[in-house]
Amino acid sequence: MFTSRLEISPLCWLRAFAIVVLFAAASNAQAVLAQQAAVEVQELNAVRVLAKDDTKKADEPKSDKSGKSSEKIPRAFDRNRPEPEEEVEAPKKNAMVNFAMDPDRWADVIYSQLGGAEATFEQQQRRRVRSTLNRIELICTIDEQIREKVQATAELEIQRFKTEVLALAAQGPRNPTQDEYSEFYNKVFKLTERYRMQNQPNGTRKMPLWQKVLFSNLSEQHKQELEKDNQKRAEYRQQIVRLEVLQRVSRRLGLSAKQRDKLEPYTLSNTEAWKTLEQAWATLQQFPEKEKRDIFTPEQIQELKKPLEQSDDLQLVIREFGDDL
Amino acid sequence: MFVRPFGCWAILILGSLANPSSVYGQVAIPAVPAVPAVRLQARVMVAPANAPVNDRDHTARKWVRGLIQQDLNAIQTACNLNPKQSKELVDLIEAEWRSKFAAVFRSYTEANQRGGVDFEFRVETAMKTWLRDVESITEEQRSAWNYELDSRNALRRRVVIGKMVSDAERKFGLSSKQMKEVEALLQERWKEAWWIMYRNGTTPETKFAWISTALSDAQRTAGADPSGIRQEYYTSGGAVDLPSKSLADRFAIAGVSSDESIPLQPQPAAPAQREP
Repeated sequence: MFTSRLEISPLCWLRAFAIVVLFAAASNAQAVLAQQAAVEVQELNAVRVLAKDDTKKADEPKSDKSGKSSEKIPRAFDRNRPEPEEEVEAPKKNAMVNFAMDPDRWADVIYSQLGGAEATFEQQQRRRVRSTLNRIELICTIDEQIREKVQATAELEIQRFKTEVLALAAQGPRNPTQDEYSEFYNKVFKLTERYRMQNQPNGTRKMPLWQKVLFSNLSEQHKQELEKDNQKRAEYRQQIVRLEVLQRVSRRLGLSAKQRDKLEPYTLSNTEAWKTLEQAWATLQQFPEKEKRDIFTPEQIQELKKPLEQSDDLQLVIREFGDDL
Repeated sequence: MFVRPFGCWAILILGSLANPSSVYGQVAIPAVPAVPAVRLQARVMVAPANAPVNDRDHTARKWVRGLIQQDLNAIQTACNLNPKQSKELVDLIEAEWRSKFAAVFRSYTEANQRGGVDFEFRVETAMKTWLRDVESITEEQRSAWNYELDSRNALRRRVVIGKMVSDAERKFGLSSKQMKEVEALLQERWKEAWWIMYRNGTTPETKFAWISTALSDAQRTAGADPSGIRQEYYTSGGAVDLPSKSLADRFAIAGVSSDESIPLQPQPAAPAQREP
């Protein structure tokens, strides 16, 4: 009887096994559910963090270089996430321009002070050297060796200037305020000064190195001949400027040919006063009355009392290079 | 779509049947003296005393009047008109100046800057016509004025060619001797258009081919280089040197003013003030 009670039928074993399996499955399911829940919570947290980041970025001004590709995958799940980059400096509120002034832009600004781009500058400088050598060859013979030496010096100068421009451009502020821009512009002005000074009269300008090399290889006699030719050319140019001013005065006052002939000697006696119409007009207004009466009619004397009217017109833009030896 | 061609052909066929002498309907029409329905009579129209439409128009009119007045002064100096001649001339100019320069005012008003309108040239041309129209002015007086104009043109030519030579000097590296030679070469090629171009602010370009005979071999090689860039050189143009005369003042020459019966140009109306 007892043994018969202890004897468990196979059906019971089967039942017990089924119960155990059920329990095991239930506990496993709980664990999986718990794991899933944990992952979901983790995801939610990550999304919240991202959302916070987004709102922060929306508040900040937009920058050009934003790592959009890395933001597509949540950083929490990105295994190969890159190191956080350096934040691009946002333009200041009082910045002059709303874009970053990179070195290329600054280089453009510097070359524009000389009337063109980098290529234009190079071309102009080479042309200057060549035309100066050609002109001098008309007066005295230049040895081929000296010619090459001068051209090589000029080429070195061009390259040196280009390097200086690059170095200066690299120092330029990226988002300059008005004050910073002015401060930096002074440096630009200093750098470009020597090329701008070349357009000034002989006395005030600084001679480039290639010209010094050229001059050091010329004889005294040739130097004098060159100087004489320079003076003649300068005189020609000044004479044309005076004639132009005389022509404009003539139009303004309605001068006759005889009156112009009378006035022309005055332009030669005081050349400085006949460089612009404004200067000439002021000089004529200050003429002694007797001389005025000798040259002008009463109507013209009345007209001369009026100031020159300013009006809309073309701007005076002169781009000259190569006013050399 | 097919009705119209069919209709045309039908008319042509019918027409040729009706008149066998005609080919494709070209019927000989007997000549009938044409009598116009309305006969237009030639009449001298006095230009209406229109006011300037805007500031630019007003300015242009003042410049034109100023230039005319300056030329009148110059005419008196060069030609020494008598009072009768002076009176006839100023009356004619006062009556005609508005209509004569209507196109000038319009083109200046429509342009966004001075470029394109050569006031001086227009006034000089008009003045020549007026001097021709006043019969009492003698041929000697007219030729004296023509000499004056030639003298002005000669000065302009010297200025423009001088600027072109200066430009070529920088471009090709000319010596002083070559500058003289180039000047002579350009004098031979002078064009009136150069002056207008210069007045509008640009020095005409000195073409390499024009002056190549005056250049050395090295300069020719450099000048023919296509990489050579043209230096832009603008003049001030300068309306500051144009005299202006009020629209309310009459033209006068040697103390003789235009007749009071000729209406003056009305002044531009002041802009209406907005009511608060």
